[in-house]
Amino acid sequence: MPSPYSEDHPLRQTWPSFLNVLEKDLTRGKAEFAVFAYKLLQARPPKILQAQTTEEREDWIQEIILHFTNDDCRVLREYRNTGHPFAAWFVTVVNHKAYDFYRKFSTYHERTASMDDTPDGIGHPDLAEPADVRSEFSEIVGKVAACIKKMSRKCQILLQAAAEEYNPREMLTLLGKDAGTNKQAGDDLRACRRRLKSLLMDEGVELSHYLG
Amino acid sequence: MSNGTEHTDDDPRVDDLLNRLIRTAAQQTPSDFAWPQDETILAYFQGNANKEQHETIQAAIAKSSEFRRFMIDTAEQLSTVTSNAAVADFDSVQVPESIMDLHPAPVRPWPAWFNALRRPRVLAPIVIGALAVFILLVGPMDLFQHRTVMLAEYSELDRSEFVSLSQRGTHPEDSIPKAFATAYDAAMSRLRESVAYELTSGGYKLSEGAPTSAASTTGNKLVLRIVDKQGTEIGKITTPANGDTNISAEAWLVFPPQLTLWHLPLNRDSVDITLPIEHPERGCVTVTEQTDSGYVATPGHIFQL
Repeated sequence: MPSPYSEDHPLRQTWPSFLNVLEKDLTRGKAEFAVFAYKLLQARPPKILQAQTTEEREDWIQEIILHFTNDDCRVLREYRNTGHPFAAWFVTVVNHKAYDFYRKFSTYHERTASMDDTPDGIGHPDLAEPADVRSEFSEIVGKVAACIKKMSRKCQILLQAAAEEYNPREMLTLLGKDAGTNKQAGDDLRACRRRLKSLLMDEGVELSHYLG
Repeated sequence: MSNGTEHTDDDPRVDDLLNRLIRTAAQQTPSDFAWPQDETILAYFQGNANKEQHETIQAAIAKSSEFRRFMIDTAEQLSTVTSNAAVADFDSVQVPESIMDLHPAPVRPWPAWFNALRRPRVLAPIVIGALAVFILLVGPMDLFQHRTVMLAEYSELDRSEFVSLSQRGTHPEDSIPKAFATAYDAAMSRLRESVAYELTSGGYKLSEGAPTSAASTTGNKLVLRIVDKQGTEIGKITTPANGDTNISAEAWLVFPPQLTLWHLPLNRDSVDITLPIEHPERGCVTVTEQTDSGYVATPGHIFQL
C-alpha cells in the first residue's frame, strides 16, 4: 500500500490503474474502481448527504458506482487526464449527482428552511408590526430582487453569499481565482450594500422604517 | 449621501434585514437556470477555465442559491480530498465483498413503463378490457361474417355474384361491406380446409370398388345417397342432370352428429369421399337416379362402408 504521503497514492494519481485495467479486463477494472469509489465516498462523503444513515449511504454509494460503470463504463470513460488527480474529477461528478439525488427527495423550501426560519420574512423581530408590513413586504422583496439584478455580477454574488451567511473565504471561492483577499472581499461587500441601499431608496424603500 | 443613509449604514439591524430580504428574493431558482457541465465546474476550480467557462460559472453562481451551496461544498471537498488526512481515512475503510461484485441491473428489452403494466392492478383491467373489445367487436363480426357467408350459400351465390352484390350493396338482407367479399373467400377457404381435413383424416374411404364416375342412362340426375343401416339419408351427392359423367355438381352432405348442412362446390372430375361419421360400418352408399317419383337405386353401385 502506498504511503499516505506518496504521490502514487490512488487519491493523488491522475490516471489510476483501474482505468488501464478497464481496457484489458472490464470486470476486474470495474471491481477495482468500485473499491476506490467505495473507500473515497466512505472517507469523504458529499457534505449534503452527510446526514444519511449508514444503510442509506451504502445504497447511495452502490447507485453511484453503477452510475459510473453502467453501459460499459460510459461515465467513467468520459474522464480526461488534465494533470489533476482523478479523485478531483470524481468528487465533482459525485457532488453533482448528490445534489440531483437530494433534490429528488426534498422540496426547495425544505432545504432552505434551515437557512431561513421565516421564509417570507414575516415575523422577523426587527420588523415592525406585521400587519403594517405584510402587504408591503412582497413588494419590497420584488424591489430588492430588481435592484440586485441592476448591480454588477460581483455584487450580486457577494450580497447573496453574505445573505446566505457564507464566510469571506467561501465568498472568495464563489468569486473565483481573481477575487483577491478576505479584506478586499469584505470591503467590496460593504460597497455593494451601500449601493443596494441607495438603489432601494431611489425606489422609495427606506429600510430603517421597518425596524422596530 | 443623506443623513438617513448614513444612519442605516451604521445600523447592523438594517444589514440583517437586508440580508433577509435578499435571501427571500433568492429563494426561487430562475426557470432558465442550467446547471453547468462537470468539466466546466472542474476547470473553474482548477483555475484553468477559459473566459466563457468562467462566465458560465459566475452566472450560475449569481442565479442559483443551490448552485452556490454546491460550489462551496465541492470546493471544500476538493481542497481536502488529496490531503494526508483523507488518504489515511481512505486507507482505513473496509470494503465489503459485495461492492466488488456489483453489476448493473440487467438491461431489459422493454421500456421502463412496461414494468408498470405488469402489475396486476394495471394488467387486470387491460386484459378485461381487451376481452370486452374482442367480445363486443370481433365476436359479432365473426358471426356476421359467418351469417353472411351462409346467406350467400343459401342464396346459391358463387363468389363473383356475391362480390358483385356486395359492391352494389344490394344484398337482399344486408348492405355488405366490400371487406366481406374477402371474408367470404376466407370463410370458404376455411370451410374447404375443414372438409379436406375431414376427407383425408377421418372416417373411411369409399375407394374400393367405388366408381370414379357415374353416368345417368336416363338423363336424370345421378345421386349418391349416403344412408345408414336404417335407411335414413345422411348425405348425398348429386350430379348434373345433363348426363355429364363427371361428378362435379354441388354435393350436399349431412354429417352426423353435427347435422350441419354444408354446401360444397366440388369442381372436380371425380370424388373420393370419406365420411366422418362415428360408426360408418352401419352406413352404406348407394348410387341412385333421381326421377320424378323419387330415388331409384342403381344396382351394382351399392357400396358398403
